[in-house]
Amino acid sequence: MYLAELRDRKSVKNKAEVAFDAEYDVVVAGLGTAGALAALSAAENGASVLGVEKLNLCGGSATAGGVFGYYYGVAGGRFEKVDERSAEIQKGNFINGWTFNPETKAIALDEQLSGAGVELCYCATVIGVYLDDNNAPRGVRLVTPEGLRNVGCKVILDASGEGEVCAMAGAGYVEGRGLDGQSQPFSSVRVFADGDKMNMANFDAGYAISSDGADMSRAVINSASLHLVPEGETMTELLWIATIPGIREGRLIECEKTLTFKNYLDGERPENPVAYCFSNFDSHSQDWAFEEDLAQDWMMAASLWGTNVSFPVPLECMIVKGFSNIMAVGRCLSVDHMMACALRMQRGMQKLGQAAGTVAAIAASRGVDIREVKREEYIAQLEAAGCLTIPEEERAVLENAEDLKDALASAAPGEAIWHGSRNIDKYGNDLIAWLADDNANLSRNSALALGTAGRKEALPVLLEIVKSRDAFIPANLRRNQPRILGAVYLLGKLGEADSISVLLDYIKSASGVQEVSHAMMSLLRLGRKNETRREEIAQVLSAVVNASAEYNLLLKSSSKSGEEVSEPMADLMRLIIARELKAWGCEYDISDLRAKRLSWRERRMLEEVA
Amino acid sequence: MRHYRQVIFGGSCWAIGSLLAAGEGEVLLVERSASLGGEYFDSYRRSEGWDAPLDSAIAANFRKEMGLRNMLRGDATDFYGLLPAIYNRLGANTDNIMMMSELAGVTKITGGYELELYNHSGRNVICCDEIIDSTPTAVTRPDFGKDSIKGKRLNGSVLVSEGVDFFSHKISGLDLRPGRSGQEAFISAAVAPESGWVEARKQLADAWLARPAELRDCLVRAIAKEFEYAHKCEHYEIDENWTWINASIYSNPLLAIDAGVGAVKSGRGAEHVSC
Ligand SMILES: Cc1cc2nc3c(=O)[nH]c(=O)nc-3n(C[C@H](O)[C@H](O)[C@H](O)COP(=O)(O)OP(=O)(O)OC[C@H]3O[C@@H](n4cnc5c(N)ncnc54)[C@H](O)[C@@H]3O)c2cc1C
Repeated sequence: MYLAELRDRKSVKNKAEVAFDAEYDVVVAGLGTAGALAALSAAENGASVLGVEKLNLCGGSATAGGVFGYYYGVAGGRFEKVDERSAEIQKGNFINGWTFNPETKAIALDEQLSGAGVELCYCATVIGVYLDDNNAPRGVRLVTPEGLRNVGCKVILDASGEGEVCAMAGAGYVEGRGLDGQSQPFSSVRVFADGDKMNMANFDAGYAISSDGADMSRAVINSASLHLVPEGETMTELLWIATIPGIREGRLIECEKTLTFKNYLDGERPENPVAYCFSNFDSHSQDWAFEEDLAQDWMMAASLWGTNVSFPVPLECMIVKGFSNIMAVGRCLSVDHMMACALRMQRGMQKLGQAAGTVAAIAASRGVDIREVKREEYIAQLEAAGCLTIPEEERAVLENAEDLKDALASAAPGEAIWHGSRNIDKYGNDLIAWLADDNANLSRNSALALGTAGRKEALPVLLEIVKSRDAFIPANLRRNQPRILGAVYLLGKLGEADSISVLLDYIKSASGVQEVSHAMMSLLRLGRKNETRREEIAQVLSAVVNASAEYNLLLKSSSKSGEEVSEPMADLMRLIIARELKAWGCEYDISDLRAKRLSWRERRMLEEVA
Repeated sequence: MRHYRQVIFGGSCWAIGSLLAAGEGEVLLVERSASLGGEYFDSYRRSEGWDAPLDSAIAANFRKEMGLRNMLRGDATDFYGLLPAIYNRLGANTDNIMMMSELAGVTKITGGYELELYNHSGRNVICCDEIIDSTPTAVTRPDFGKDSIKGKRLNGSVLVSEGVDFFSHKISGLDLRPGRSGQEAFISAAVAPESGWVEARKQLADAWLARPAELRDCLVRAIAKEFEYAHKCEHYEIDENWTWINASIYSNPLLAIDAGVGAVKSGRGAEHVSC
């Protein structure tokens, strides 16, 4: 037997012999949004369950985290009974929450988990995993209020949000986006009473790497200070500051199947779902120039941030690859960085928790691996509970070229840009014809559609959008992006030398992180393909980032005492430039950064570049 | 192995005062949760004497900050408002704080102690000359912690509906305490020292649900996220240079911070009644 634990963020395994002080079928690590439902469902399906929770209550982000409202998702699932009981206790006794009251939800979960026989181990943390030679769990190591405990189990459900237990075991994972390893911003939530209602302020509080202890320490302290009001103002009386940091995205564990944003956009829908999730790609990142192309196609070129999409999630997205009977449950399930933006909302997480708990109980009772549990053994139960209710997407239906043309000419062309680019074989000639149309929206939005599809015919109009400093902002659903930024991005993607002078011109007169970062990334891409222009590009880019004050390279990340709190982006930009220039074989001096106090991602990039 | 002169367990107000007075480098504060000052703020412990004399500039500055934000209102002081100001003050000092860090073991070594800690990065072993445990449950010696607890309360914040004379009523199983404004009162359930969170929350909720009809329009706004503890003693020498201190004996968090600062200044650690 081995004890696997994390040391300096890496899994380390050592031979170990321990006597377990108790044995359970299932250990659930983390009784948050997903874990509470997992533990409940496992127990209701006959398993002996130990629920280990760091905090002193169930519900995680939904209760202690102060996120007491559902963001999309659809009704149905075992959690509805928890919410019903919560509402029963709340009514006439506690103030209203948003969708639910977090205090009474915690009480309802206490009641229902204990009632189902889950042994609740609060204020306790899983710090190690015991594995056999076949990577099957033998037990877990915990710090509890009474001291250290070692308990045996057949199945581990890692519902820690962070995939911490899977990481201890040595499972593969991805974290953050490709360019700089950055996950989405996190929040510090404060909860206060607003008359007879409970309210919360949930604002982005900068960036944190949730797999790094020191960075998390810094992040929780700095972010909690953002609740301070300016001198002279009276603070709203706080009820509590969230006792769990508002992390949106941490480790994403490698499982038997990974759902990617590309899968979704390519129209792939996994078979055999155990639950459906429903939300928009709710990325809180604001520096989208540093995101992957597909994200930029969707969010910048088509400006479809606000569009809700429905995802079937199969069990395989929670079955950890290379291990037997370990599941990643909750927002650490197997998705890519982009998909993590959509696949984290509470209704979906609770349903997935229910599915994981149900299957875990069956596997434990039969003494088999989760993979051997047949769908027929559990699916009727999940279906009856409502986990498989299919959310309805309300995407625009564009049936023919006329529909497409009308939509492209409209104030809300997002779906049409997307549809056109994805059906380029069918509409390519129409889109090319519309480039010459007098209607500027039709012409320019057609160029975005063609450019997104990689068609060079878009180039003259895209260049015109940039040269004319096009001011159009679409009126799609939410968080709409200026058309000019979509064009700047696509010029880089198309890689034609003609774009270089236009973008060099644009960046010199640009202002703010959005304009500068999009132009910078496109110019770096263009430099990759156009060797003779590299020196010129390098010179202009280094002049721009060195004059960070003039170009206002501050990304608003939050506010404090009534003032904006901004993330200085110049150092990160310099590091991105340095990395690219290194690949080009060019010199770029960033030695001064060594003496600076850098953010986590900057430090990481500096190490890489050095 | 990283060495510290002193490691303080528990992000209590006393510990924060100590850390701020000690400055950077030699002292490390280890807190298992993601919150500081829970023994006052998140327990809704009754705080009073906000105008009591303070010895340290650190504590006096916090009081000034509270004044500047209209938190000091005589009997109705907004105690919780002090918490963001504390985080703000610590902002530059986070290298010496390990939040969300569990202690798995203490081993005596020559001249000090070795500590096995776990946080989001994983296992981390450090050593120190001196341990101060300021946690209410004595995480460095849980058996002592358990024995030291005399009483425990779970509190809640209540919205008092207009026209109700809240304090003229009695609620079986709950003590009633004034809140931060006329609109707020605190309810307090004395729970058995061995009660866990499930029993305690149930006890508080059950008592509230059975309140007199005259109070039916009053509603609970929040349940405290920490217990309010009472201990049998104020100070305990666990071993050589390993001390537990009761960090919540002060009438308010400012006085606790002040005492933490004072402990560093005098170089004598906590001066309390020994067990
Ligand atoms: C600020 C913010 C706002 C959001 N807004 C909404 C919204 O409005 N609506 C919506 O539907 N969704 C919202 N979301 C998303 C949603 O709330 C979360 O994605 C979801 O709750 C995550 O569920 P989870 O079970 O994976 O994690 P959590 O609910 O966070 O639970 C994880 C639990 O594991 C425990 N834990 C961690 N490590 C260990 C360990 N080693 N041992 C034991 N226990 C451990 C933690 O204490 C915690 O209780 C928001 C998220 C955030 C951060």
